[in-house]
Amino acid sequence: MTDEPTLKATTSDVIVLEGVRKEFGSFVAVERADFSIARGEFFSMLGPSGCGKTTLLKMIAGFEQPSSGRVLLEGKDVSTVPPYKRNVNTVFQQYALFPHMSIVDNVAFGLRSKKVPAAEARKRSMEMLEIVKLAEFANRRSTQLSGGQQQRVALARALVNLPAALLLDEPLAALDLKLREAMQIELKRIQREVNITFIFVTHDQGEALTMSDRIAVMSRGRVEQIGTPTEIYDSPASIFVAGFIGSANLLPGRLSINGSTPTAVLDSGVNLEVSNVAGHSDGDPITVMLRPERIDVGREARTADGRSMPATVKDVIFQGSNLRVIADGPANTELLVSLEADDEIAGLRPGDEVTLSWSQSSAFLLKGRSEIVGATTTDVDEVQATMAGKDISDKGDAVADDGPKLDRRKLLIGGGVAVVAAVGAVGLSSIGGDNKKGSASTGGDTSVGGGLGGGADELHILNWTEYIDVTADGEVGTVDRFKKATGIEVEYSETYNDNNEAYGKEFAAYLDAGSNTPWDVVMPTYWMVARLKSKGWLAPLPFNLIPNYKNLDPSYLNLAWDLGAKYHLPWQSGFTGIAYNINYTGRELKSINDLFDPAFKGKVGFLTEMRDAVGLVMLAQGNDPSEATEDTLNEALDKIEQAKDEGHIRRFHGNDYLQDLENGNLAACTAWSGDIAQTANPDVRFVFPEEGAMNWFDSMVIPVGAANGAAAAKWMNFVYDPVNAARITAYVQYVSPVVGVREELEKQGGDTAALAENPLLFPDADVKSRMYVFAELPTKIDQSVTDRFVTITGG
Amino acid sequence: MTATTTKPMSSTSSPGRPRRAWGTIVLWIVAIGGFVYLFIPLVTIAVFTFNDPETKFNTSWQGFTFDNWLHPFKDKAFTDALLVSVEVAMVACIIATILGSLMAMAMARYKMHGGAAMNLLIVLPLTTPEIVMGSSLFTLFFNLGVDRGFWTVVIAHTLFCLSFVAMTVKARVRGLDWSLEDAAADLGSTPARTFWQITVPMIIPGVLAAFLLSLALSIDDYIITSFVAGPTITFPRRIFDSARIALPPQVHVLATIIMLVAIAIIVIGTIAGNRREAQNR
Amino acid sequence: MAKDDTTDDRSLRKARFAPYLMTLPGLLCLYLFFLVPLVTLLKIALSVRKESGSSDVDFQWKWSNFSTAFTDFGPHLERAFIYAAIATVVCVVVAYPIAYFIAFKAGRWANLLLGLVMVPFFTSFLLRTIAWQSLFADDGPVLGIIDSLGLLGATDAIRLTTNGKIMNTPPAVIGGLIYNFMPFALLPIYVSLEKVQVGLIDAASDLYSSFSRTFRSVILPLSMPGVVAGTLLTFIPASGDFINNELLGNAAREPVIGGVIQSRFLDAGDFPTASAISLVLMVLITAAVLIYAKFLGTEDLA
Repeated sequence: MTDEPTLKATTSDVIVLEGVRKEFGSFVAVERADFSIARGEFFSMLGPSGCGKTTLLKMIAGFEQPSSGRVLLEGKDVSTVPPYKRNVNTVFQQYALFPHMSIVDNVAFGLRSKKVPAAEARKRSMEMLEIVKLAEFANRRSTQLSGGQQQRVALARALVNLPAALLLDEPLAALDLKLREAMQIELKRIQREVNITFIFVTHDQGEALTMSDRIAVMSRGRVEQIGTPTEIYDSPASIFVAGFIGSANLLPGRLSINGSTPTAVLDSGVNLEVSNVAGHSDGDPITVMLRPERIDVGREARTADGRSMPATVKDVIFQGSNLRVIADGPANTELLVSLEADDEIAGLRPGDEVTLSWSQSSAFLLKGRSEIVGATTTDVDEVQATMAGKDISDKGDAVADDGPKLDRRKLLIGGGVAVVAAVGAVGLSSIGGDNKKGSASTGGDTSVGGGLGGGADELHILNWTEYIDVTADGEVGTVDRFKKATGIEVEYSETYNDNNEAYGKEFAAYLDAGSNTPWDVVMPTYWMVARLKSKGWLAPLPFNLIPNYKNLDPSYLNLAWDLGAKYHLPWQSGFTGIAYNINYTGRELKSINDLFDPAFKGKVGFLTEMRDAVGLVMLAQGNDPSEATEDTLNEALDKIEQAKDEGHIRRFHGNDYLQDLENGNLAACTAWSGDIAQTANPDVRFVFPEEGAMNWFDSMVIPVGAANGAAAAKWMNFVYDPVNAARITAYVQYVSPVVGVREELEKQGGDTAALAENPLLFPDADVKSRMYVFAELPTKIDQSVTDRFVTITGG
Repeated sequence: MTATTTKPMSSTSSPGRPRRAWGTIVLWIVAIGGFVYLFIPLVTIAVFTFNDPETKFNTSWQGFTFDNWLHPFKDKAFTDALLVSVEVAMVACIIATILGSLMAMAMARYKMHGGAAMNLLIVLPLTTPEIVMGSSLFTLFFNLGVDRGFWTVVIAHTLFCLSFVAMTVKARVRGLDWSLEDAAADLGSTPARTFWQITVPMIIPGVLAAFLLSLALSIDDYIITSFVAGPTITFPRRIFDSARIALPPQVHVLATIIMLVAIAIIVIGTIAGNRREAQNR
Repeated sequence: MAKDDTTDDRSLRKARFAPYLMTLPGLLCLYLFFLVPLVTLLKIALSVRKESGSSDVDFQWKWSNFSTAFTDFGPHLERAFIYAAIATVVCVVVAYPIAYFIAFKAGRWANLLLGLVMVPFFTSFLLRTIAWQSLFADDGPVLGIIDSLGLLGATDAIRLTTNGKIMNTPPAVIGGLIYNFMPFALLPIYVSLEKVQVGLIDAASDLYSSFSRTFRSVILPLSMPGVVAGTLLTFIPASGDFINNELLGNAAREPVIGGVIQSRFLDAGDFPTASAISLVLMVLITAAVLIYAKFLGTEDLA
């Protein structure tokens, strides 16, 4: 025995239920419970499924609250107190052991919750484990234990807290028969040892009878009877209890109290002497209960003496030490008799005529007429089950449902919520619906201001891919050098892939919405620059901050759409020609028409840049792209469309043709001059076509409202220094708009100097004469050509 | 994927049915073939980390080198993009996991008014094509004049991860034994203590799995990100945008690193799980 | 507590504050960033561009945007759905045996194998698809194998290859779709197969059922929810996908609806058309899902 103090206290009733009632909606789970449980008692609540016993237990534990009435624990009203504040503990039906803790930690959990120090908690837990004989498993996990062992751990975990009462919720239901019987003995022993009140819920009446000091028998929410096992068995308070506990023979009839001996006049006509007449009146409908083991079977006939009746044996069931006899009594009432086997009785056979007899005190009066007449069970299996202590009563009430009357309400509420949500959504989506245009630029203002932010610490540049020299192989790229020289944080993005795409994504998406683009410097192609300017989306360049502006090649100052180049500063210029991989073409290419060589069918690519693709084809057809007319334009478009439909053109591409040329997906395609210069693959070559090439340039622009105008200006100034411009050109190998680059390259000598002689980088007059700039088209024609081209290329 | 499941024993095959054995062989072939198929591109990528391309594209084999592994972060642009992706993923996935787990717990354990509608709302993003989600978010931000950038990406990622997390956690939470919480309360544990000591350990495997799943989704997302990212360059965006001009082997190295980390997590998880199971025998 | 007599309906116990508070942030997020944008999308779909090339729109209840979207881009929709459907069928058919294998034949290694199925997720799907570019390239291994087996003529005949090429053709796109979405098909099938108790299979064979019959009448029906889920998880994203088409296909000649939406939005800035197409796509997918679900009689799509 452990050294905890014995639980003698002032009051002897540890739990009192006063008028406790529980309803769930319209379903009454517990009608009214009024009883108390004494300290140290082993108290069972017994009944079939649905009788309310578990609900009652939950109310004692704190997991449910009574609809009315009070629950008193050690004299205090705990009806509304949550479980973790009540001094009762529960052993759950499925044990509910914490799988992630060891056994001893499980047991110590309650103590630790109450802030008992770890060492002390562990000590007491180990002591409790000793009591349940599981000390050696202390450090295992619960999953490693058998069902019975887990059961005992659950018990220990609850008991170690020395609760005022221990609640057990059908704890043995999951165990097999032998184990169950052993556990019943164990539980009783442990209860005696710790002397704590046990409140035991079960549907197994044999179990309750075996273990309990007192039993509360419940049915359909009502407490039918509370008493000791003997009381309940011998003196059931109602027909239900009589039929539920053990087996009984129930004989309905009417009570007749006249004369000395009260008589029960059975429906079957037999008259029986009865004893416990107290509380009954003459003429009451009653039922006589006869327990099977109180009936004798004899072969001699007897006169009707009120304590016997004749019967015919119907079935004899041998059960080892005793016999069950099922006999047909008067009015064909089936009766059950339980006998010790002896020689005389052993000879009974179905069909034998016998006399059943009993002592007067064995005939017990119950109020009301029983619906079951005769033995509460004669089914062989049920008999055996009942004798073995299993519950055979019916299932009990179905779970209540709330009924359909809430549905309409729910519909209305749901509908209301939906409407509110929808209106809200529409409202929210309308915020900011009216878009303001980007702020207009004031022309000609050369100071920072004029629609520009003055930021000078950060710079966001958006450029085409691979369009600037990078830091590699010992060389420091322009961006890094710029950062070092000025201390400005540069974010350099190379995601400019296509002019139309950028127009939508980087310009319109912001400026149409009335906000500013995140970019300070962008490098669109010339025609896109023109369009951006016409929309008023470009800020005038702050020339006062760009002294190197003077290095600009003067030919750029005469463009009709921006005379004096006030809104853009050219970045690089180049031309579109033909690129091919000699491994896949098998020969050198010289002309644009080579692209249409049937030998290359399915391996030709065209740019998605309309002016380049259409322009080149026009040249191949002998037309002048700088003087394009609707007819010549459509002629070129027709040819492209035809080539596509025939499968001659494999695909249309943006920047991404290099890879295809290298791996053979494309044999030849339209290409930009600098791109090929940068590839190290000697098989991939660029050709300035004999018909001519399309000339273009990309310019740096500052979007209106850009935050870092000052930084942008510094950048432009930096890259217009011929030294820096030369570095860029040497890498990207396009045509630089900066005067003085050629000289810089020559100064460096070696390979770099050779670039100075490359006509692709520094075209002479002859080359220039074969370069064409695409005509500037009137808006409508521009639109229709673009649309047609986009359709052909699958936009 | 770290939860241990007790596997059903292989179904015993009925004796002496030649047809069945032939079927099993086919099954093995298909299964192995399937895994090979799944891993071919991954192996290709891994192999190409050792390539020494002369050209700008790491797509044709040129020569063997360890160089790329020695300098995996040489290409700053890609490394930066990867960092951005990881940042986004961390923020978005943590938020999504917390919000989604809360939702899942509430919905799986309580019968709530409008529970069906909530369920629908969670499932709807999963049935919406990415392109529709991306474009609708784009129009939302456009309308509100919100600058697209890091936080809009986080918002978008949080959104689509939310649904995945909620569904994953809900599925896992359904089968758990909630009487453990009652047991804890019964033993005197306050609700707060019960939450941390009992509830959290119970749901951690499911929550963790959901978190990992959302990480994968976020790091790899391209379509939705392309709509809402503005100038923010995440790893997939970088790859896609640059793939046209240059694909340095560093990209393959970074991707292979991610893949190896994932494999490592899975292997460790499986071994730990198997060991724990063996312990419990 | 035993769950017998009372309604073990915890809702009646605790559904006051806590659960609603718990769902509130998530719901808010979904509402603000999913529902509201969709409504915005609808609004814009009903608008008109103020001027050509501009992103400014005027709300005008222009329902005709939808019909225009339908007629102009019908073929694109059709193509996307066909690609997705073929890919889905192949995915499910191939994933099923693999899932079956993992569920029934893998024993302890099931979790590991599942994890391995997930590994591709952690690798950039762009890189994976680009890897297929190399694999499908004209001088790549796939064509190489077909050629060395002498099957090039045969594959041309069944249009698996076009003129001896795979890159930039529909089969390449579908191949990419299949590869990318295989895990999406596999995992749900596995989950539902895993739940099939081996006892059922044993019971069936005890009742003299041959394996194929057991499969057809026991295993297949029980795994149906997984198959349905896998089909949906594959088909839905695949119909909106355009990356595969761009990288592996010929987006110019054979565009898919996803590509159209993207280019309309980002390249052309034609928000009304793009929004209309988006919504049309979404409605069609939802309709397909509902029909499919009804057809198979499954209710719980979760």
